[in-house]
Amino acid sequence: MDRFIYLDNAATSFPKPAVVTRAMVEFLERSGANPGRSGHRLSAQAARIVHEGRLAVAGLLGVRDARQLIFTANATASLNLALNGFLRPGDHVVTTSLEHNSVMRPLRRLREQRGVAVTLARADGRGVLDPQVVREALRPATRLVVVTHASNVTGAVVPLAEIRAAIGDLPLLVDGAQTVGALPIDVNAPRIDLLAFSGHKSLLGPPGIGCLYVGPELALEPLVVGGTGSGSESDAQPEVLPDLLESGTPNGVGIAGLGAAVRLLAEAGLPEIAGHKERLLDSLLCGLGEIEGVRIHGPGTARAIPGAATEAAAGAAATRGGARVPIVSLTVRNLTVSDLAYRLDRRYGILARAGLHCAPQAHRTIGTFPEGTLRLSPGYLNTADEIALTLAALRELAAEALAGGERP
Amino acid sequence: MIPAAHTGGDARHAHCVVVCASIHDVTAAERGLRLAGLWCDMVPTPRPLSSNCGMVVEFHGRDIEQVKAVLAGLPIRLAGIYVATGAEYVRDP
Repeated sequence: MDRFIYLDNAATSFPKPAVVTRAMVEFLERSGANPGRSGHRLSAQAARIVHEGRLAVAGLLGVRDARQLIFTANATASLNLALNGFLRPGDHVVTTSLEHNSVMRPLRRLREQRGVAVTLARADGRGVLDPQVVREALRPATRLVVVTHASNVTGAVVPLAEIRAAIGDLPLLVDGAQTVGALPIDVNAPRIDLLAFSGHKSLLGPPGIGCLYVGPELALEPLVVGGTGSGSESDAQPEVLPDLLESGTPNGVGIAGLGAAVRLLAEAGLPEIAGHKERLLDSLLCGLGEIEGVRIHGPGTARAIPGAATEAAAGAAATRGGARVPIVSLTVRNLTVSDLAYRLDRRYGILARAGLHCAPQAHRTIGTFPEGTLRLSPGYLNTADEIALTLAALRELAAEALAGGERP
Repeated sequence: MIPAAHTGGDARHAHCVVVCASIHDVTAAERGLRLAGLWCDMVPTPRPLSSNCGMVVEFHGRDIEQVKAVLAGLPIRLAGIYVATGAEYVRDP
């Protein structure tokens, strides 16, 4: 395989730790049966692996009863289950202008097909969400508040505790796609009623496995019903969790990998891993701040810092102090983001993502719609050297663009 | 599985099973009992009890009091503990 630098971990973390691959191979070779359905020893072993995976994820998030964790295909499936399973005609929902299409599209369908009313609490031009704006969007019919925990465009973390305080006892659905595995999260403090996330980003698990945490006070209608391995004499869907919301053969091999990944995170220490990624993020922001023609988009960039050499330096200095996951959105003067990403890939072997990142509303919020941005998202297995090489590449490309000497 | 016919109806040596509402509860029960050092195994649900989950946890009847104590501390939906007496399963009260 050609050498490359992978900086698209916000989409899917890569590579996966060896223990994840081993757990998946082992599942397929030694226990790849239908978990708990068939009764024989392989089926029992597969059920144990699914159970251990569920317990591992529950432990990471402070979930007291692992039955409240529903395995899904990904964060999008989790969000669809949460929104479609909870909202009824006439309900009102408050969400934010930072959301991914995995929230916006289901809400649009619910609005069009079920008469659910939706209000957007708008973040400011830096992508910063004021909890007071969320409070002001509430109505008597509000039945759910939906917020992303961190923007997949800017990396800025929203203040969940303040939002919980602002909405009182209302049910809160959190899109944790960018934060679960990246930040310490306890679903009890502040209270999160529904937490949707995927296994393939910061949790370092494989693609195709995600989770929805369902708080003990909430009742969701299933989107899919069918075989569960329980109550098989009846054609009525079991009422108990997780079976109520988990029909069909589960992704055992994905859960095996996810369980191994979460146990690795627990052993390595999530704060230590987060610290490593923060150091990479700091290097990236500091370096970008020194490159003329580079602009960082997101919190802090609108705040001028006296003495900062460039607008990017102002952004770097101001954003470093705020809570964020390792995501940086940038543009380069005189160069489209698609050309930038293409050149990074083909000329330097640096893999990043350009465009709207499935979050057009977030880009409208920070003023980068429809062009979008280049998103760099370092992960656990990136190194300081890789960040330095990336900065050197961006320095060359930005200089070329400024000089008008774009190479084909 | 211990053949029910071999137990002679004596609960101290009988084949007993833990019946739960879901496979999650069954695996949670088995895990809890194993952590407590009790012998047990997940096996297919005997036909007379098949109106619940497709698997049960079997254990030695001599451990029944310890099993009940361990299960009482677990977050599981217990559908019952059954003792094989001859060819029948009798629910432990």
